[in-house]
Amino acid sequence: MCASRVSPVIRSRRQTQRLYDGLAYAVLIGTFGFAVFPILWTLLTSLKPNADIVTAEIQYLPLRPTLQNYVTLWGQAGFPVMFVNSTIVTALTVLVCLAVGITGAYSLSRYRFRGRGQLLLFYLVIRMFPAVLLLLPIFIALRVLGLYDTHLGLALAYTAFLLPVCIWVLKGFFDSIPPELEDAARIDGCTRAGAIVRVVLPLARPGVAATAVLVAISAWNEFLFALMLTTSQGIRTWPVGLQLMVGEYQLPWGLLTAGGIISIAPILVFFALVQRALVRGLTLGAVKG
Amino acid sequence: MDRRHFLKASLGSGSALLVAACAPQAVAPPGVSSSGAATSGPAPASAPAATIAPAALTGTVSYWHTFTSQSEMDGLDKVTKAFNAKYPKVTVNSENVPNSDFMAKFTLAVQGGGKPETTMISSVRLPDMVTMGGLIDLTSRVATWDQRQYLPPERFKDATVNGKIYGVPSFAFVNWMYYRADWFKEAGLAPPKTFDDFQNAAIKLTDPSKNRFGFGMRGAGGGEGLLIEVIRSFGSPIVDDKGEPAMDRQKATDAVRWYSELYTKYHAVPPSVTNDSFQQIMTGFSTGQTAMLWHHTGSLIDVGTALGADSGKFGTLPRPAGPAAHIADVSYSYNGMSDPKNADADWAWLDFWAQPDTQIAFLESTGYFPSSTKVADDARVQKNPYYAAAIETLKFGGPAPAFAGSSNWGLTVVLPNFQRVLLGEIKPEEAVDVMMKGLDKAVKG
Repeated sequence: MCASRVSPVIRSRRQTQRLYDGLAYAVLIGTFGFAVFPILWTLLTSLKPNADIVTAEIQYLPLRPTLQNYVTLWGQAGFPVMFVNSTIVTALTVLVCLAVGITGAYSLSRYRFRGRGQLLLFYLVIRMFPAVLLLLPIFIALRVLGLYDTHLGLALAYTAFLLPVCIWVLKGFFDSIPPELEDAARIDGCTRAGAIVRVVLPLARPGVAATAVLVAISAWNEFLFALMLTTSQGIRTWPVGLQLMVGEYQLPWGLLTAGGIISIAPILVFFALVQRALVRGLTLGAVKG
Repeated sequence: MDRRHFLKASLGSGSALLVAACAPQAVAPPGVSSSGAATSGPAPASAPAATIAPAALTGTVSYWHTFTSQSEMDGLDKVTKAFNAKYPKVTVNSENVPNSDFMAKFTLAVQGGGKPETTMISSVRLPDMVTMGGLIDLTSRVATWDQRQYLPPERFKDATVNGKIYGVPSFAFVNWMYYRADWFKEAGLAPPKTFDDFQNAAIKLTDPSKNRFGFGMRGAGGGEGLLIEVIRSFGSPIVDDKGEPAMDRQKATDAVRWYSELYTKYHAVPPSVTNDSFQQIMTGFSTGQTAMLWHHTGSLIDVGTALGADSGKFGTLPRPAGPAAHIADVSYSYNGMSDPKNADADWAWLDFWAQPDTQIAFLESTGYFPSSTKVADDARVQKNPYYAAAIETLKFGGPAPAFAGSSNWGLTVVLPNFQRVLLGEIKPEEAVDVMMKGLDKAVKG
């Protein structure tokens, strides 16, 4: 009989909990809406014909949805080439950053040598410099090396200011992996490099994946260096192509929004590919016993 | 290194940098002497000893420009193809650079190598480009140029530094106005010729129930230029012939009052006026919200595309005449040489831009008005009804007043104080007082 009656204190606690849950969801939904609305608006605008974009009264949903903006943009001279250029430069940047970053982060994590602290600090100091200040020395260096207006030159320029981030993030993940695991592998006959490949990297997969995503997004979206360090249409990247559509007296909203949505697509695909590695790494065990 | 030693080292190196920065300069950037004056820069382009036949001229010409829209690129494509037809052995490599980043890229090229052979130049940038040693003196070439007779001296004014010419005019931006011819016809109004006509039409064509306003005033970025034109139309100069401040307080106040009352008293301007820059006023006009718009010839193609070039919905007019003067700014875009590896081929490219057929081809694609008087007299230009307003304007229009710091004065003093008048925060005379003080400071330092 008493079990069917709920204590007023418990009833009040449940109500309070529901109230807090409701407020939390309201904040989450509001924040989500605030973050997603611009992207949604860009997508909806990209599906409207030009006549429906600039109107006297605002139209939220496309009344006459069309893919013409995508077709026109892709058909414009040079855009598929710019897309491919961005892909090549981004891939090169990720490869170079990971190759150098993994070895650099591992050595900073595992070894103690003179100047180690200063080197780490130096990487942070580089990040404090506005990228535009590095432009002239990098420009001159690339011209001297014959890498101006090349994919590799641009990738190396990106590496200059993305590698510090790469090293710091990876070092943090390597620090969390107990050195005893590598010692165990080496006792079993592994070389140092073998231990890195067989033991450390699989455990650091979430970190490597996260770093790759950060580097890829930064390299894909980068505009200033891409504009200044390339000159020919054959090397220009996607962000430069989009910026060049913004005229002094003309603004093709349909094409620009279509370009923005196309820009997001490769990053979404890349993130989807590495997402599994990120999740799998979280569920793997570490030291047992 | 511990924290204390790190802080000491940082303080020491920071102090050393500060001392070095404050010390007298021993090394100056390229193109600038230690005293800050421009160095002699690259050697001037000498006039060709003998004319080379077009078919025999060889070489590659690199050209930097800021064209971005489809119409501009179509126009450039037409010009390039026509050039290749005349000079089959000369290759033109054009590179477009966003307008907002042009100076950064040009400066980088001057400092680090890689200057283009020829380049588009806007009048506001030319002095800086000359100072850094980025442009070639073209005075001797222009002096013996056969197209010189069709380019009056004032068209070279903004391309001349210390008596030397660094650019040749390629096309003009002629300030004019657009109006909804169909609305005027509906209301039985004649196109406005004076400020009184203009005000009257703006009031009569305003109908909030139809979301219609008489005038799309540019109250955000770029609007300061239009206000300065109105001030000059009321008889107040900005600077005198010697470059000294010369604003007339009463006349300038009358001008600011007249212009602002279009919004504050007659509500003939959209309420978003203080946020309306180029895109907003163009959108308002194109979507049938405003009856009149002040801009220049560069936007003709877009207005025609939006409203229909042959629809009869819109027309073009010279700016209305003010109580004391008829003012309309005319500015020119120039082409110049920066690093001429093939001087004759590079000059051939610059010369080609001044040819009548080239200028008309570019005009038809972009609406950018020709710089050459010969072209303006061409039948193809004369018979186009839209161009009549530009031809008429060229008879009285001229360059905007320019002095060191004029752009900054307009943007940071004139515009914000005009916006405060529009918002009712200050009176026109108070705004003019601030503008005059700011002008004194900009001119005298």
